[in-house]
Amino acid sequence: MLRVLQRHALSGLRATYASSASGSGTASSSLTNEVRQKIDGVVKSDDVVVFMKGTQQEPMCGFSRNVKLVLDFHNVKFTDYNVLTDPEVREGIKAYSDWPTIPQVFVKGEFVGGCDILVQMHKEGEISDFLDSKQIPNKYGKK
Amino acid sequence: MSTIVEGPVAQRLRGKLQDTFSPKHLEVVCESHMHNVPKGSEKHFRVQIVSDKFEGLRVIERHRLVNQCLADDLQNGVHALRIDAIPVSQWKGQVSEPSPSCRGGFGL
Repeated sequence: MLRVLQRHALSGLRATYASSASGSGTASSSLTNEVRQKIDGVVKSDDVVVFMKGTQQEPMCGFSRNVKLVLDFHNVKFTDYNVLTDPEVREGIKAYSDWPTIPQVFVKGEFVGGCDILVQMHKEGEISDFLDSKQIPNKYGKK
Repeated sequence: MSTIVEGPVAQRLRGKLQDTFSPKHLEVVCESHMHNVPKGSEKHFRVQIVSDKFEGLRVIERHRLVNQCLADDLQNGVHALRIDAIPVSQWKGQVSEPSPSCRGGFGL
């Protein structure tokens, strides 16, 4: 039942798989210690952190927006980091997580995926179990 | 199915994916026309790929394989890549979902 509900809601979101991307052309292999520490600090600043284009109030990219919509749907509170305001982090995060695109979702310090993966986890219903396993309060979880 | 001529970037991505994954099914679609870029750009792609190489892997691992295969392109001009990577055992002819609408972008 939950899955049906989720699918229905999702079609309303016009969400997509999509890992989406933001390769702005420069190599992402270089990551200075300084930037790594900065990203580390952001990643650990909250249980759920999303590096995105724009903010959760005003996403500037359809992929970033879809991640926000999925997390909102599950009543998951998260901290956003707008990479459009920080070119160092925008490039650095790709090397940090070995993932070429933005948005990027971290839960308890662990890289979970981009838009495609979040949406897929949502559609297949595994996102509730995953969040439960990480002890993140969520609407359809056991808690 | 489609009569749209594939651009050089799409052809290159297709070639790499074909060589790396020997896919049973492969779709490479340029979606740049949906985004805030000059007409004719090849920067936003959607890939649906079905291969034995994805068998037994978690979604994130399948995505990493595709990202690795196309790493050079993602660093040099390809801006967005939607991935639908499916093991052959789970392939039922499913159609990829529509892509999200652009929200303006900002510096692709």
